[in-house]
Amino acid sequence: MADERRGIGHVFLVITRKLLKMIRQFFRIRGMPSAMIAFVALLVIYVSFGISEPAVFSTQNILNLLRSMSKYLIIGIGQSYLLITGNIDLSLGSTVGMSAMISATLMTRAMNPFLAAAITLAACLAVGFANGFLVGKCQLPPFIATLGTMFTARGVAYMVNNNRNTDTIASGIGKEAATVFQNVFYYGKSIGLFNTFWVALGVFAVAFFLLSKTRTGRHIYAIGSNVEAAKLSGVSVFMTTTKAYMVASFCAFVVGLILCAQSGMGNMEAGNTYEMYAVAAGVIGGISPLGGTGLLLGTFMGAAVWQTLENGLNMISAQVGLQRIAIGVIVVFSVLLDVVIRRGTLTKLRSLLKSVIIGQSRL
Amino acid sequence: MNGEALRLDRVTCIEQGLKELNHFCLSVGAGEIMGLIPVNETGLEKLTGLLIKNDPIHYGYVYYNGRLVNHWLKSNGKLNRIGLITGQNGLAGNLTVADNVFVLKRGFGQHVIRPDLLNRQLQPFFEEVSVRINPGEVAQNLTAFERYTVEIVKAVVAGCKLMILCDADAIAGDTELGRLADMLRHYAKKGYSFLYVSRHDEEIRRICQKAAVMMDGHVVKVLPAQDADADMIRNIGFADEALPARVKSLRIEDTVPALELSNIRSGTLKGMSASFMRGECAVIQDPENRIFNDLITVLRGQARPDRGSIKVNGRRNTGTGRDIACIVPAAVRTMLFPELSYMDNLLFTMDHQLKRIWLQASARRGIREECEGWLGKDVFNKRIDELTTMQKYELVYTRVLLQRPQAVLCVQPFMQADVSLRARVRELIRMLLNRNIAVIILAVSLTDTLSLADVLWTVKNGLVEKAESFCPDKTVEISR
Repeated sequence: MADERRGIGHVFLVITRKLLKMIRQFFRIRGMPSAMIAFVALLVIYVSFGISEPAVFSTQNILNLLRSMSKYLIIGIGQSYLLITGNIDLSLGSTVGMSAMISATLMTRAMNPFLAAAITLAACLAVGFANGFLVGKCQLPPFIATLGTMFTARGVAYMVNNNRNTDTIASGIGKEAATVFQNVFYYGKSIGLFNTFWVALGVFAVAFFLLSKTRTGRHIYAIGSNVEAAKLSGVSVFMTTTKAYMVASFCAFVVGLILCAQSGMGNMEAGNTYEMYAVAAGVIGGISPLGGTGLLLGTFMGAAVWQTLENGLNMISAQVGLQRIAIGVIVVFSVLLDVVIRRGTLTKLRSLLKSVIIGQSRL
Repeated sequence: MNGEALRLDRVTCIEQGLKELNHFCLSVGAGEIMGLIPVNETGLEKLTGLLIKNDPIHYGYVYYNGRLVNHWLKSNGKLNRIGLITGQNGLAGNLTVADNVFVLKRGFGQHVIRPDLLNRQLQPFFEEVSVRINPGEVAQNLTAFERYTVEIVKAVVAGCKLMILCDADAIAGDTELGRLADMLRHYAKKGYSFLYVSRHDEEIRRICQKAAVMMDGHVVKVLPAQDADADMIRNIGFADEALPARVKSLRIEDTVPALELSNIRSGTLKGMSASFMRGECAVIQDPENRIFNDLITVLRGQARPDRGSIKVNGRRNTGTGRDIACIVPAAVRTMLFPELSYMDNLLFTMDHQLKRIWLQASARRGIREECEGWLGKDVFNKRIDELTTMQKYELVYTRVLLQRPQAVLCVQPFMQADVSLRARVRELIRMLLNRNIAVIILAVSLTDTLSLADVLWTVKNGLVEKAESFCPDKTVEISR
């Protein structure tokens, strides 16, 4: 009997050890601790708001929450690619506006939605290429280069319909086609969830695969981690940077279509300040603004935290100003955490604490 | 304490549970050139940090110029007037020499800078040590040795009575080392003291009066510099492992060189021609350290030469492929990706051969199992910043091995390497040679490199001046 008990105990010990090892390995993945911190923050925020206002837990609210976070998630993915390379794209919001305006304008002129989307995509990718060329080839500081393209893209968004918002897209392609378009990108549902979320999930899956399972993905991490080493290893910094900018532009293109579908028309101010939302989503999720580290899973969590906070504050009727302050504090806190982790301050504190405890036990 | 510039008395420093310095005792007299031979790297960085910045110590006392400046009860954290000469970061590249020496000096009180006056004031300092440098020259235009010299003069002007000299071997060839020795002796006569850190016993014997051998953060022996030789260091505790023999002899039957440079003109290269065979170890010595950057830039395809051609295996080199690998100085800092995993770092340059390497876990596992034999099993689960210096070097060289280039450029591979690491680097270079890869070592001084060399190319003013073969059945011709 005692042997049996010892046997069970041994098995339990082995399983526990293996489980602990797996957990340790899981947390050793670079960027995973930050993503998990964001996940815990998400749970805390969501439950807190839910306790204050039970409607937060309602199915309809969850569906709306998922749909509205999708835009931030997609744009966040684009910005995360760039943050990992150690760059930034300030033109993302303007590219979103450009995408919404070009696609809407073309559809109001009765162009086939597919063709309109293809032309819009080409225009957005051109912005991404221009950014990549300026930053990767001409070595312009990304902040300045994308500041320039930000104004340029917004200018295109204004000019495309003669400085006016467009009419409804239904006026051009007909009510039926417009409804299909709007359902595909915003109002429709599949398997119980809004299509917007499925679109975001699709973009997330592809981007995740590209970043974690392909050569380009490794190159993206590498140039953010140590650009000189990357050059010495035969990585084309220009090509990799350009690819990252083009991925970001593609994300902006998708968000532009979503905004177009949401309003059923093109708005010249669409996507305003989205580039900052994108930075926030990435940074909250543990994408380091210094480059080289971070997981898209973190961006997912970051977008969710952002949207849950906004949703929760809305539900409890908090002022808009308060929402902004809360977001600002969280972003600063996230970056601070990144800096602390990078400096190894936590490790030093832990070892200091350990030596103090050992010293005390000896005494 | 009279007559002593520096004394470290039983200094102990513990960082993250490890003893960086362990009852470290050292005394440097006024006007003395003391050599310090680190058998391993432990504590070296900590030592310079605490000498200059008075970092907190766990036990011991530090006296500088007869004053107690740091002790285990209290560290004031103030800066000591001690110069750290590395030849790397001591000067602001965009400022002139005079600006660097005077304006960036602590306590420089003038608000309006008068360049002519500063230049005039600096000239006597250079003349005193027979150095010809234009005080108005921008620092980044100086040669490595000139920068080193200016750093020493800057420390003298700043009133540093003690200077710590590091990595002189990386910037000074044989002639320069002689000039450096003269310069140090001149200042030593005037009462300045020097702590000359070098891993090369020949240099210590040539420059210093006394030598201290440091191992595991502890001074194990202090002896007259003339007695410091490789055998003595080996006896102290480090056994230099017998290097594996070269598996294949130099393949002189190859007619097509692995790498061929024909009349290359670009920047400081003034029509350089040379060819390197597979499995051959060639050393290119440039005592003035002028051509390395231009040579790397051209070979890496980052710039096209103004004239001439580069052929890899008989084909014109585009620079875009991975036929030529480059291992730069201090490779552990410059060639690794700290945020990527060990495997990612190891396989990073393999994806041109195995296109689906990042998708195929089985392929990665296979390579890992193959490499575990010489890299060890533990390293694969470690983060890059958790690796020892030796493990980082092994990672860099193994990555290059897996890349399978035609030629590898090793730029000053023994720079900043301690005694044990130098032996390991030699071993790793032999590993590359045994795989029939041409290894081209770019060196300023020939210490450590000649034991590997099949051919020595000496370059002066961007041209091959002399070529010497150490392979009995091969002759080398210089074509200009």
